[in-house]
Amino acid sequence: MRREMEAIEMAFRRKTVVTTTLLRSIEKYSQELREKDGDYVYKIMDFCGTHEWTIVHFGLRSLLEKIGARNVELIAGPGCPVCVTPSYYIEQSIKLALEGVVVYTYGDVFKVPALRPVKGARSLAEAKALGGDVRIVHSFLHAVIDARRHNKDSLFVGIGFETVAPGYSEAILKGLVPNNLKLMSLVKLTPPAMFYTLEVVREKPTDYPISGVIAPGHVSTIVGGKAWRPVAEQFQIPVVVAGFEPNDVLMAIAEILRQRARGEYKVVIEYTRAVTWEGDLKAQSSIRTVFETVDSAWRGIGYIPKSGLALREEFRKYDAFAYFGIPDLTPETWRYDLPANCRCAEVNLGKAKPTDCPLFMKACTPDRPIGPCMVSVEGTCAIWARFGGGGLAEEIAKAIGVF
Amino acid sequence: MCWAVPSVVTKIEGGIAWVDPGDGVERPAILGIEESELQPGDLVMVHAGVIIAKVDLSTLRESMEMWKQMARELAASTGEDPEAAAKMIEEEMWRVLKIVEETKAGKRRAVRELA
Repeated sequence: MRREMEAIEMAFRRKTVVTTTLLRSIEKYSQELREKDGDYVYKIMDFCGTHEWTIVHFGLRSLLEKIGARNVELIAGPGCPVCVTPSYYIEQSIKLALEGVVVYTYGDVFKVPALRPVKGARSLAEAKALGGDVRIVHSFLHAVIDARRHNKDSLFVGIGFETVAPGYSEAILKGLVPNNLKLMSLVKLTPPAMFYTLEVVREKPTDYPISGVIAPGHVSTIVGGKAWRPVAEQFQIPVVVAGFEPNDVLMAIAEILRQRARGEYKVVIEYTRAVTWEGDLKAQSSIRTVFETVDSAWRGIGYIPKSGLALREEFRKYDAFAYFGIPDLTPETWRYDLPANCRCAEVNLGKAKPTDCPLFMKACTPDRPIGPCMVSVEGTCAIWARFGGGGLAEEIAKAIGVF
Repeated sequence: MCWAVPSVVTKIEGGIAWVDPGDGVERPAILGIEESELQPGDLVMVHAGVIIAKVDLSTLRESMEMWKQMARELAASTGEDPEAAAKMIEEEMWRVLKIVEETKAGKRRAVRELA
């Protein structure tokens, strides 16, 4: 395995001739576009939180600045499940934890602050401190294995995107889930959210629209490159499905600018080592068997049509909403659910940067997050807070001869 | 949404795969993708305990072709020799491709030994 990982790391992180070629290509196409359109700003949305991590961690924005591609701007998108899960569901989970239900959750959901405290607990972490049985797991399967041991009423806070959905559906279809473990399906779907985001940014006429999208690589392993064709066609913008190493992202930027310079708008899969055009058909059918598509609320944003997955009627016995009698949110009951002054929703939609938020790194820090974007490893605010940009990235680039 | 850890499949039993992310500790994972396509020794991406993709290293050649194409177009626009630019990318990648070949051969050997 070490050898295989070495090959990938070498190709996508350590090959400076490749990096230099990609940077010079970006420089070339950005110049071509400037000659054509003057001051027009080409906004490229990196939809996925993991891409934002790569961009900030490796200082790619600084590199663009350095090569003078000032007409290219990378905009982070809503691809962070913790950031978009409505506060209501966190509050319901806290309530169950304090009532004696064993609550299983991923590590970042554990810390995310809810809007309204429940019996003094603002997060699942605080519920645990108050005596609730909240257990952090890495996966649904760990919860399945653990819940079998104690047979107590248990809840799994099932956040995520298309990537985790086949995990939930396969565990159910294979009969692995014990009767005492219930799933609160909070799975969100990416393509409807991408449509919504692009519409919102387009509707703001004072700003430039999104000129291209770096599509989420691992969501695409499931849904396939084909899922993005409607995006490319309707908005007439290039979409590149990219991997998560720096050279992957640079290649995606270069390809988007190349297409813009040529007037093209195609879906290109750059992440060929894991993604195919069709995606994984077994995963798609497994998800469709267990879940149905429903309108779903996104934190701070509201309802997006057909953007969530709920368990089908025949799998009701696994459904936490039915079993624990939790009324689900509806468009009528959903209320704006971000703390005062928190701009997480605008950050998710690419309408604001973390640094535009009055709380960023003042009241809201990774140690004491106020908004959900400051919690997860994929939250834009948390990434900016941890890795910043500029200085160090530039020095490394200089040292290895990229400049 | 896309955070995933590269891991190696060590065994598949009862619809569950056991994977090693490189620290020597085997962990159970749900097979999110088609089971028949996986076998022990495969490199996969694991996202929250779900195998979401098998990583196909032989496609690194495709990645190289994309970069070569970029290098050619770049060279053509500046009056340099496009083929020389493409060759530079190939030279840069030879060690990577050699590792890919070696691991492929190694896997073939391992499968033969199992049989």
